[in-house]
Formats: sequence, structure tokens, C-alpha cells
Amino acid sequence: MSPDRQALAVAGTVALLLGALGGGALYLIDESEPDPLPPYEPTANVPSDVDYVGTLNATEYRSDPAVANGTRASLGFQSRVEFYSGPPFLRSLVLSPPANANLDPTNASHVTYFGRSDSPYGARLVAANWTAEAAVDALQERRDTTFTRDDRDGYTVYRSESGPAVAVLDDGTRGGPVPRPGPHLLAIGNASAVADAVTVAADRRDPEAEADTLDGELRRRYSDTDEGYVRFAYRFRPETVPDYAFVGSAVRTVEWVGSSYTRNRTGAAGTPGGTVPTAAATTPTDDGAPDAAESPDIRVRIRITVEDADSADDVRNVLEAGRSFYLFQSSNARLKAELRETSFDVMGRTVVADYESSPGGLRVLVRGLFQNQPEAESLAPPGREEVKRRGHGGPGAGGPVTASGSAVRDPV
Amino acid sequence: MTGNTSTSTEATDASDRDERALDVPRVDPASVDPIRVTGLRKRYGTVMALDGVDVTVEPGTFHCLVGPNGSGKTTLLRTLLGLVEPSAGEVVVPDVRLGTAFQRPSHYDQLTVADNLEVFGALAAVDGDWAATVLDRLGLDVVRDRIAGELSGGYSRKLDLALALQKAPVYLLLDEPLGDLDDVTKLRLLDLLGDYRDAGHGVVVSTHNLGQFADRVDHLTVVYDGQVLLDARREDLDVPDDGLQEFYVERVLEAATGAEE
Amino acid sequence: MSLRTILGKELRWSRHRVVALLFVLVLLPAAFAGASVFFQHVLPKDAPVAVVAGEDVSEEEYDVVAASFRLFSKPVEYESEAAAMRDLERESVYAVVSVPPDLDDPDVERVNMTVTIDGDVTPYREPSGALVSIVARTMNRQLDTRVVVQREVRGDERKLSSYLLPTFLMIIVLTFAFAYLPYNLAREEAVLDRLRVETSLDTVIAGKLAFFTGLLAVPLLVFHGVGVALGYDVNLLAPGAVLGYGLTFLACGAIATAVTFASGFGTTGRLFNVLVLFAFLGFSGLVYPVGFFSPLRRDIIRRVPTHYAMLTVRGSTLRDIPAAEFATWLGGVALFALAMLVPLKLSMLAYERGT
Repeated sequence: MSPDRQALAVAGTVALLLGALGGGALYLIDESEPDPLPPYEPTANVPSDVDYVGTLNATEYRSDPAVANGTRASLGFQSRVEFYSGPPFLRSLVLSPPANANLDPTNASHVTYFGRSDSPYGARLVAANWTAEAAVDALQERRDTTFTRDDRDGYTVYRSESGPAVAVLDDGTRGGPVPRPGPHLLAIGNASAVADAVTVAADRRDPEAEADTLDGELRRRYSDTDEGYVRFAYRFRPETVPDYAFVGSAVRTVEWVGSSYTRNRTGAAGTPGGTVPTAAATTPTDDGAPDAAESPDIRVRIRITVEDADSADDVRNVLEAGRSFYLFQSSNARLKAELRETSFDVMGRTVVADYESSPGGLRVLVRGLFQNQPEAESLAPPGREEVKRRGHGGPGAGGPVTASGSAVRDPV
Repeated sequence: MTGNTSTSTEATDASDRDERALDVPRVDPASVDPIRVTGLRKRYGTVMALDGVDVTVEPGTFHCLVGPNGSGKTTLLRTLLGLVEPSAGEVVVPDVRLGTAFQRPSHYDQLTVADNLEVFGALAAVDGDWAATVLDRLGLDVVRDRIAGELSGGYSRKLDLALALQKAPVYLLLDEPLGDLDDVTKLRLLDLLGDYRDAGHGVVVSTHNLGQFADRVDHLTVVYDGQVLLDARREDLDVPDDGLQEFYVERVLEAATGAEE
Repeated sequence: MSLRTILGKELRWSRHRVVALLFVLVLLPAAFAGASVFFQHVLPKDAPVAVVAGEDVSEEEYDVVAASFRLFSKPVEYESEAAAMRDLERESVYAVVSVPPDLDDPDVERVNMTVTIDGDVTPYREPSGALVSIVARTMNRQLDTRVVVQREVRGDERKLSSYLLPTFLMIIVLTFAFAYLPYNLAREEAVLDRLRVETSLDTVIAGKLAFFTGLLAVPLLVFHGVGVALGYDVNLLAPGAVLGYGLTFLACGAIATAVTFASGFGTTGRLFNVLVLFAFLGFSGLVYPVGFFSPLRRDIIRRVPTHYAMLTVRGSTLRDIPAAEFATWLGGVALFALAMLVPLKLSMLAYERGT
């Protein structure tokens, strides 16, 4: 080969090599957008052995004061039903803010509730732009207790002598829901419940461990609810049903209850792009508050799973009777129209109650629907063991207590 | 004395026969078509009960179907009666009265003898005089008011024969007709069947005991394993009456041995 | 030891009767055990009740009344009381209630509501009392107006014994068809060959069915005589009843005969007929009105033709309703009987081919 050709060959080989390297570099170095974070799964860190689970999209809840008020009223009526054993939404950090300047509830985007009925076991998972120290300070203030810092499975846990605990499940450095500095997922509640949440989180990160997370029937019932800004499901406790004349036996066949609140306007419901929005992501109108006249309706759907199809029919009849009487008694034309639209359908052994109203009208609708409950013949259901109705919290502890005696004390 | 006695006995027998023969309704064999079977096959599941049988039964003949148990004789007889549908082949039976008696009793065992005769007599629109003759010749008048289900084996068989005969069938098809009968009754019945044949009717007897019919048979069909081993007129067989049974048995054994080889 | 030998013989016998034993020891008990599923309620909770909404009644007034009844019955909307009463006679509904037109009138302090039941439907008398009580309490608890709910009995209140007379006769008819007829046929199996030569199987079976259907006149007269002697106001000789019983026997007799031929007169066929008999006894709504049963059983009963025969019989014998009123149902039973002749003929053909 001539020297000229040799030089050409070398240059060509170098060019090829560089080209290959460059192409390889291009291939290896992904200069495109980073992979989107997986969507935040609010129940991912919920332990398996619980009786209720609920989620609240706080951002959406707060986006419209009318929605917040209507939802709050409806949840209130629901929780005051004699045999409600679901999440204690109204005693949430997010919904009833403590007097603590360092803990801004509007910075919380999602809250997940879990716990066991008639037991102090329970906690909430709060996705918020808070620090654990601020949460601990708030609790110390309210409970007059001190916390000690600890480490469990690599997670920071603050324990107190009186019971509540706070754990940092994700401080942003672990590639959590929102990658920014500061803790973003806190578990706050009963020490056992918080410890279990920590264990689940640790197991989820360990490729060789199998996380004992929410599963089984409760998971199924929660998944069956619509994707709304409020979702929950709980195990129904027949022993808490009073001695209702004629219909008590039908009500006692209920096994599970699931419910969802959705906003009935396209784009108004759900979260964009799978990311967890903060309060700052909400787009207010020009005057800073959503236009009440344009507030979308709130749709509430309750799924009541019963022992068998026959009993489902009976339960549906009871609900329809309540609606019929309310419709009969009401003189409000708009309410009557909404009541007529209310439906109670039976699908297999599940009764689906579906009602919808404007945020302002929802409280009126729900109040009537829930007020037409039958009267109990006596407080104790016949032939059943006595119900520990008042639990550990007692009436007035941290807010209204349902007759189911939910004893999850609000730590804040 | 003996010569005179035997002569007088023969004369009496002949005279009796003449008298009895007068009772039997007559049929002109020339006016009656034969029963023809061509290429008959009958399958029951995997079993070939009849495998290519050709038989012709002429009126005015005493036709014996002989063969061991399970050879297909009964199936052939039932096919001629229309009780069995052939799997293949052709069975042509003229539209004339057929009378039959099966191996098992076939009458109403909860009715009396007289009731049975009346019921089946009404179905066939029988001649009353002939029916009475049949009753008498078969000796059933002594049990006419007895419930059929309570009859002995012999009387039960006689009742079936009476039911078959009283309708004066042109063709009489019998399956083992002498089974339970005593010797006296057998003789009387054989006489009756002979008279019936002499009156122009066709008599078909299915049996495994050819010896009982040796002196009356006009046509012999030997059946073995669903097939016809021999189908011949009696007169064409150079075999004495008392050797006929042995003759047929040998033919069957030959066939059986041949099959085994 | 001879006992051991005999027991051994029984074992050998059972080896040759596996199918029949399977039937008697497994299928039949399983069917009975499974049938317990159909007995769910002591009191009927969703017996149909006619709720008549007159012209002056608003939709809400109707809804409130229907809702009150829905807790322990199945309200069915009717536009006219006459139609509702007619269906009350035919046991399509078990009570009739007319919605009072002034239920939502604030000036009216007290409203009367009447629940009418048929006195001849004896089993519903007690449950209707419970229903009236439930409705009254429910409505008075929820409404401001006082609602007085009264129960009215149409016709005389019939005693259970006289109510059951037509039912017992129907049980006899069914037993005759499924138990005695096959037995009678089996006794004559031996003569069938001769009969096939002398006449035809079709003629024999037609004659047998016709004869035994006609023979039913005897128990009919006996039942009627006993009823008269006991002072029951029950007319078992009503044309509708005679037709109902006769067509039922024909249909069921055809089924039983078909089974007998199909089984080659074997034991399995007899046992199967017994099972079919129990099925008809259980699913013809003979004793309790159909509204008493679980939805599943009710659905099945409403598809069984003999149920309509029983309704016709009850209507004719207890209420003197003319047969013409039941023309549709009787026509249906007649069609059913005709239809059952098809499997009968097919089974006879199969029997003839198989011999």
C-alpha cells in the first residue's frame, strides 16, 4: 500500500472508530427527557392487615371552596351513620389544620388513611412538602409529648411515649413522588401502624423481599371504587347494626362498603400526567377563587357488597324506601329532581348507590338521604355480642366519633 | 290279530287325521307368495347376528330353521315377523296373516286364558269355530278360566300357540314350540302342525332339536354364527329321518372346526 | 358361614347394578340435599302485590306506598283495580292495594289504605297480616299523615284442609302417571312383541294413555264425594279442573312412558321416573303459592307447565272461575302434552329398533 493510501486508511479507520464511539455515546447518553416518574400510588405503602383504607386528593379537594364544603358535609353525614367503619377523614391534618405556622396544610397533596376498626391501630400517609421535624413539632404542641428520633430499616422514625409516631418514608432523595429536597411522604399515626408502613416501604425497596402491602378483598373493594378525589373502602361490621325493625336483618348482610367522590366535568377530575400535584399546581381563576357558578357537580358513588344477590335486593329496597320517603316529603323542586336521578342498582351482590349534586346542594341531598334511616328498636342488636361502641377515644376525642367507635385518635 | 290290530289302528289314525284335517282352514299355496329373504344382515353393536342370509319360505311347507343357541335363528324369525329391522338386505313378506309363538310367553298374564283368546281373537277377527277347535285340540278348555300368569310352563306355551293358531295365519312362525310340553302334547301338537301344513299354510319352526320334526320337515335351513350353512329341500337330502339330527350337528361341527382353524 | 356367603352375594349383585345404585345412593340423595337451597324463607318476602295507582295519585305517592311494600313483598304497578283483582284470582298477585289519592295532602290528618287478599289462598293469610303491620309501621314512622292500613279478605276465609283437596288430587294424578303407569306397562312387557305383530305399539300406548286418563274419573269422583261429605266448598268436577287434571296426566304419562321405553323397561328408568315425579311435585307450586319461594325456585316453577295446570285447578275448584278464563294456560298445558308425545314416539322407535 502506498503511503498516501496508508494515511487515508488510518484516517478512515479513525473516523470510523470515532463515528462508532460517537454513535455509541449518542446511544448511551440519552439526551431526551428523563423517564417520567411512575404515577404516585397512594395505597402502595399501606400494610395488609387493615379494615379500612381511604385516599384524599387534597389538591383537588381544596381547589374549590364549594367542593370542599360540600364534600366535608357529605363525608360528615356518612361518617355519622350508625355503622360507619371507614376512614376518619374529618380528623385529618389536611382537613382540620392545626395551629402551627410551620405546617401548612395547603402543601399537602395526598393523604392516605388506613387502620383497623374499633382499635387504636391506624395512621395516615401524607404526601406533602413538609419536614418531619415540622410534623413532630406540631404533634408535640398538641399532645404535650416528646419524641425521640430513631432509625428503622433505614428510615427515620420519631416515637413518643404517648403513642403517636412519625416516619419519613420518602424525603425526596430516594426518587420518591416529587424529586425535590425535603421529606415528601410521611407516615403519621399510631406507632404500630407507622412501623408497619415503614416495613412495607422497606420491603418495597428490597428486590428480594415481598412487601406485605394491602391486598385481598379490601384491596379489591377499594380498586372497584371510581377514581375520585375521595376514595375509600372498609370492612362492614354487622355487629354494629342496631335492632332496626324489619330491615335490620337485611342491613346485617352487608360485608364491604366502598365509596368515591368525583367531579363531574371533563378535566376537572383526576391528576395530570400521573404526577402528584401540590396545591400550587391548581389554577385559580382571575380573581383567585374558582367561579362558584361553574363548579362542577360532585358525584358520589357508594358500592355496598352484600352476602348474596337476594340480600342485595333487600338492601336496595331499604335504600330506595329512604329515597322515596325523602322525595315525598321534600318540596324543593331541584332537590326532587336530583332525588329522581339518584339510582340504586344491584349488580350481582353489590348495590351501587349513585347520586350527584352541585357542591352547594350536596349537603342537602345527603342530609335527607341519611336522615331517613329507620329507627332502632333498641341500641343493641338482638342476639349479637355487645358492641364496644365508644372504643378508646371516647366521645369528643379529636372530633365527632361515629357509633362504630372508631378509636383512631387524631394525633394532631 | 296284530296285523288286523295294526291295520285297524292305522285306519283309525288315518280316519282321525282326516277328520281333524277337515277342521283346519285351507289355503291354496299357489295363491300365496313365498317369504323371501335376500342378503339379510343384522348388526347389534359390534355383534353380527345375521351375516348375509338368503332364505325362501314357501306356503304349504314345513320349514325348519335349525342351529345351536346363539346362531341367529331367533333373530331371523323376528325379522320375518317385522320385529327386527335389518341392517342390510331385503325381506319380502307377503301381506297375509302371520301367527307366532315366541320362546318366552307372550300373553297378558293378568288376564284369564279365555280373556287372552278373546282379546287377541278380536284383534285378528278370528273365526269362532276354528278358535274353539284350537282350544280343544290344544287341551286348553280345562284351564280357560285360569289366570294366565298362574299357568304351568306347558299350558303357558299352549296358550301362546293357541293365540297364534286361532287367527288361522297363512304363515305360522314358531320359536322352539315344543320346549315345555309333555310327550303326549308334543305328539298332538306335531300332528296339528302337520295338518296345518297339509292345509296349505306355511309352518316355520326355529329349533335346535331337529329330531323332533324329522318326519315332518319339508325344507331345512341350517344356521350357524349368523350364516346359512345349508338350505335344502328335505327330499334332496339323502339322510334318513332318524339321522337328520346327527347330519345337521355334523355340519355345524364342521363349520365350527373350520372357523377355529 | 352362610351369612358371609349371602353378604358376598349381595356384593356381587351390587357390582352388576352399579348404575342403579349410583342413582339411588348418590344422585337421588344429592338432589334432595341440593333441593334444600330452594327453601330459604319461612315467610314470603317478595310475593307479588298489586299496587293500583289511580288517576289522582301522583308519582311520589305511588313511590312511597310501593317503597313501603317493597321491604317485604314485590309491588307491581297496576292501572286498574279490576285488572288487579283479576290477577288476584289467578294468583298472579297475592294482594291488591290502592294508593290513596290524598296521601300528600297536608290538610288531611288521616288516610285509610286497604290491602285486599283472596280468602281462598289460605297459606297467604298469616303472611299478609305481617305485611300489613310492616307497611303500617313503616309509613307512619316516615310520614306526617297518619296512615291506617286495613286488611280485607275477598270471599270466605278458606280452611287449609279444603284448600289442599285439589292439591292432593294433583299429587295422586302425578303419582299415577310416574309410578303406576310405568309399572303397569312393565308388567306387560312380555306381550308387547305379540302386540307388535297383531297391531302396533302406537295403538297399544295410545289405548293405555287414553284408558288411564279416563280412569282418573274415579279418583276425581271419590275426592269430590269426600269433599262434599266433609262440607268443603270445593267443586272438583269443574270443567277447568277436569281438563287440568286430564292434560297433566296425559303429559306426565307420556313422559313416564317415554322414559320406560328409553330405558328398555329397566330399573334405571323406573328410578328416573321417581326422580321426575319428585321434581314435578317440588316444582309445580302445588301447595304454597309460587310467590312464597326463593327467586330461583320461583323462576323454575313459572316455567313448569303443571304449575299452570295447578293454578287452573285451584281457580276452578276453589273460586268457580270458568274454564274459559284459563284458556291460555290450558292451551299451554295441552301443547305441552302434545309436545311430550314427540319424545314418546322417539323412544318407542328406539325401543323397536333395539329389540
